[in-house]
Amino acid sequence: MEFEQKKTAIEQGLTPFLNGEPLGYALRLWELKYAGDPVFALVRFVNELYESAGLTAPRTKVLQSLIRALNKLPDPIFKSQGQTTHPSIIEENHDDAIHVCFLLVDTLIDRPPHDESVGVRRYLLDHLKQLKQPEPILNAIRAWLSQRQPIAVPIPETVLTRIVNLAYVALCEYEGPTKADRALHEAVLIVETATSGSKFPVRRLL
Amino acid sequence: MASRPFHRWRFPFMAASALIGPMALAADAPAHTAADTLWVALSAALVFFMQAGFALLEGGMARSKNAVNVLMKNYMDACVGGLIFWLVGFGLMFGHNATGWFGASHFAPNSATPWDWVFLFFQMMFAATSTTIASGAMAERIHFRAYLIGACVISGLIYPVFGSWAWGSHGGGDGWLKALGFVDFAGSTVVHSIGGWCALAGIIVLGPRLGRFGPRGESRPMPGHNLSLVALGGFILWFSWFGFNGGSTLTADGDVGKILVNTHLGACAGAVGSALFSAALGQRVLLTATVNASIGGLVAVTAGCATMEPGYAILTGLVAGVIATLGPALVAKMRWDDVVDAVSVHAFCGVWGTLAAGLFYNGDLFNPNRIAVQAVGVLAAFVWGLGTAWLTYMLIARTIGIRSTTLHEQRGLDFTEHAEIGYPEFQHMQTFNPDSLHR
Repeated sequence: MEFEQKKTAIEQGLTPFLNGEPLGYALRLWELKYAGDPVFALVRFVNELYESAGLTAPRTKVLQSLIRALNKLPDPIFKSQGQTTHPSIIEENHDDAIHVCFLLVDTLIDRPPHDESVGVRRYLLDHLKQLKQPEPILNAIRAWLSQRQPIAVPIPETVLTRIVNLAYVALCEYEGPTKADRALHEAVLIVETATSGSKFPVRRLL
Repeated sequence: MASRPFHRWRFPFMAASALIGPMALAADAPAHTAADTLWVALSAALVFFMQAGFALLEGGMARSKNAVNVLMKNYMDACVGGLIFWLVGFGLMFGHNATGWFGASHFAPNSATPWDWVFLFFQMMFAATSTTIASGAMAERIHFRAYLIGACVISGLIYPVFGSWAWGSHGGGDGWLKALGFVDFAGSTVVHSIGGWCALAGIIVLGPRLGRFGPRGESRPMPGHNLSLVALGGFILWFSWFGFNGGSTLTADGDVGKILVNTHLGACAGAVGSALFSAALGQRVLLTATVNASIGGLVAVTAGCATMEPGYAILTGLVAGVIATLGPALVAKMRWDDVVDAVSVHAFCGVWGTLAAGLFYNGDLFNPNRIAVQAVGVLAAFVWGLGTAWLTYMLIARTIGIRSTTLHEQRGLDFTEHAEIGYPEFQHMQTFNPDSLHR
């Protein structure tokens, strides 16, 4: 039932931009590769649609449409997406800032091509010491980056801002500043839509 | 016209210069008519308008999140540069030059003849031009206060000291380059190369913007945010250059016509040279490259516009257009991040123009002695300009810091340095919380 509801939401989100066979193809693609993924994986899904289904509308609009459609689902379904791969965020969901920060970083990092995503993640791991934080915090971030382990320590907001900045720097180094600026812009829009109910606005981290 | 001396010193620390004694600035100069005064005053105003040209050109070539910062740098370097040049720069450049190395009188002048005032006003605008060249090159990653301190040093020390060598001195004595016979009519080297070498020193000390070069050193394009501003800036600079070169006669006489023709031809040839060169290489003719090439042509023809025939002015401009097109690739190969290609346009084209002024000197073509003197002047500018500017920027970097943080680069210097943004309707989505503006 949840799967069907999500599929319907994806269809509703894509309808303004695709119809007929391309829409059918897009839904099959989502079923095969992305149905069990968290919300930020929609970035990859949309990127793949641009390559294979002839989407021409602005990427951000497509993403926003999809997220809005998913947001209309009953809460447990939408939230369960996060639970599959973000136990940390759910465990710490009282801490909206951490939730928003790591959703933003994930959305920033998880961009094609895959090799560069790996490189960006590695860059972050290699440069974590620049944050000049106590080892427990660094270890927690390291564990999250490499093994998706929950963030179990409190992290000050200023440090969260610097984590986002480090991800931006990594993107600049790997993809160039123009793409990094665009990626940050798109990621902020996605996270803003995905966390519209959050008390912590994503822009505070910028 | 009788000359009255500059003879009052406002600041005690300048009293030493009074040992040289008061003197008439233009004691040996010919008397100037009211027309001369008017022409030079109008030309100075045109040269001041170059600040607007630079602001638009550089602002357009920067990303939108740094546009206000670029404009502010251009605005404020004219302000601090004007004050500093009046205070010390003019004395160093045009005060009594007993040694040939610097002027040592006429600091902070408060009394002068009408002609000397207009001369000071004209030279003040030249200092502002030389100072502002570095701003675009170092855009998007330099602290505002660090930039302004650098601007003070350029307009108060680096530019006037070199100027005293080549053009000194209005207040008596000759600069050592001038005594050798160095030809730089309106400042291909004195103004533009010096500004360009200062820019190079700045970008070396600063390092490139985040991600400007890939891991293998490949240059990544970082297009500016508004090419209309670039084109408008180019036109304004071109227009103002008629005052820059035309006013350098310091007399409203018949020489002005040929100087203006040569100036215009140099700019035209620069743009055409660049376009032809790009086409020959099978490349597209870019707006930014074309505008920069026309300015390169203007820079190059500035040294010899009064002493070469129009045909040679065209040749000078054509070669400058090629240099302005090739130069950025060379600079990028060195991993130097010059946002507006100021080093190529002002330093490299200035070098070529100064040599061309020797090569194509009217009535004394290709005289090796003259060319050698020109080369000495070019080399002296390189060593002095790059060396002192590098020391200055290094000192700034080691003391108050020069480079913006990565967070500031992410947010854009408009927000972090000025708490203003150039395009609030569009940029509010980009990086920050708009509510935090103006706090």
